[in-house]
Amino acid sequence: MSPSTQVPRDLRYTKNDEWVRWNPPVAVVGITDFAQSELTDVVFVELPAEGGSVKAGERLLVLESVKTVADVYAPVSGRISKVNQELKGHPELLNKDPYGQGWLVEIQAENPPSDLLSPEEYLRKISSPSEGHH
Amino acid sequence: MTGPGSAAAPAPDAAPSSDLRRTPLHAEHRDAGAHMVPFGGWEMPLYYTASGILAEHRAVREGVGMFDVSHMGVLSVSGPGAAWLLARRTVTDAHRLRPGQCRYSFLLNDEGKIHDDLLVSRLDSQETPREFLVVPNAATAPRIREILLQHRPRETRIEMLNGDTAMVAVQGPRSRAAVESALGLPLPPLRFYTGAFVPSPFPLPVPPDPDPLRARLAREVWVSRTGYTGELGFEILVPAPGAPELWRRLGAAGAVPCGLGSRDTLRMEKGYLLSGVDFQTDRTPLEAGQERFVDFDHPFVGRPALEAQRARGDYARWSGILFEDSTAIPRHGAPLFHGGRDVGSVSSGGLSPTLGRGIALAYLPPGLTAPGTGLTATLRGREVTGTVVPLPFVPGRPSPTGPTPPRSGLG
Repeated sequence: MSPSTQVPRDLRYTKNDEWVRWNPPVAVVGITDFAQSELTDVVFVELPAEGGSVKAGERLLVLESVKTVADVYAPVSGRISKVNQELKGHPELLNKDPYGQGWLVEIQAENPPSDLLSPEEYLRKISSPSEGHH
Repeated sequence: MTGPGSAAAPAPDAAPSSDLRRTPLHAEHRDAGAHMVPFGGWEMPLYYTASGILAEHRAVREGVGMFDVSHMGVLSVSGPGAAWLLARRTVTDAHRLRPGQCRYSFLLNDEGKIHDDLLVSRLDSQETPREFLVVPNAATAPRIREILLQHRPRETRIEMLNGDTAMVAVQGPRSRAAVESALGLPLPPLRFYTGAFVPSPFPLPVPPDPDPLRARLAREVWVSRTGYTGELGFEILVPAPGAPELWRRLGAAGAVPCGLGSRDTLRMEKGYLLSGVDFQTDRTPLEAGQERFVDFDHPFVGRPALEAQRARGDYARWSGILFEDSTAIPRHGAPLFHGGRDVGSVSSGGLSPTLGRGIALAYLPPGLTAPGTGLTATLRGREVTGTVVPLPFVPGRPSPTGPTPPRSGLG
């Protein structure tokens, strides 16, 4: 993990490297700075349809990067109320601004998210060589 | 999110980080914010956070980039038996190399299968050749050294110089100016695949050293017009203590630091092999489409097997496949189909940054290698179509300093 890897304090995290901004009842979802640095340059985002419903833990969308392909999972159950259409033409936003312009979707949650990691817990997870990707 | 690494080409090495070797440029990489990964037993930059793979790729195609390639094996082979040894053990007739000539080569087993691809360069200018630089890949270098040692004639030295040396590849249309600026001298007019010693800007005390290359590098650096990107480019071999200064000077001259990520996309666009990914002692140079680098008119290990295969002619050939789509990217291991029949799998694949389309390299059965042949792949549950095309995917461009290289290839 790079010493400059960002883990904002106002977000919560999944063990699969997604972040969640919880504005009840809406969960804004993206991938973390650590995730984008591991993926390398994102070149394509297969966005889900607005209005569809997802279950927590199910595949939400797929990212293709120069080096690999990765699934992003829904951190909460609910209806996809908004997707970031900017990513269609500008997938690089995921690398440049993963916590801002690189957000992925908004989900109208059925229940508040559970089992999310605090910033401290997430930082510990990605700092541990046995649990990080490298 | 899951998957980084899961669908990518396998790393030739996955040793725990504590066992990884570091190049003499490690501090420069760290200070530049490199994203480091294990590769071939070494800790190497995958990309630099200030640029990223796509920007580094573009820098090499349009300007100039620099790669730390100090992980590649640096074998000094010298003495009266050196040419005999290399001629016997590689597909290159080393007796016929001219002073300063570099040659892309292969070291085979008895069955003609490729242990490794290497660059063989003649360093001396004496009447009979006796000093060579042999550059195998990082992960395979110890094995290549062992194989050469097994056949070593008397009075022939084989020294692995890694640790004492660093190697930097400077690649791109503006590479000549960057190298001349960094070395502080005009380069000799090197033709493609030749090299020369030039005075070192970082001279060291000359130690009494039985290895002629190590001794020589105290006063001179070896510069060759070689590379793995298909652009005008140079590779510079220097003693380890001079490497950080060389790297800084190249950066000041405008060379963009580049990592293994762009090295991979650049070589795929040119249809160059990657050791351990496109072959791992399971393919011959004929199958890999490299027959033009095999000197058949001298005896070498693997020649009878290659001759028999050439006579049969019924072997699979490494071919390029261009996909219509930029949104489903073929990757190592993806199965390929023709008329519903499984006809092989992708050995190297990815997005071509230059073309903006998926490209793949694969060993295809005879009959399916003709340009225009249609193939399909199932990527993320979706069928995508591709077409066999001649290599390279991205053709060369005219160079003011010489003919466009047909083939580069320091693996």
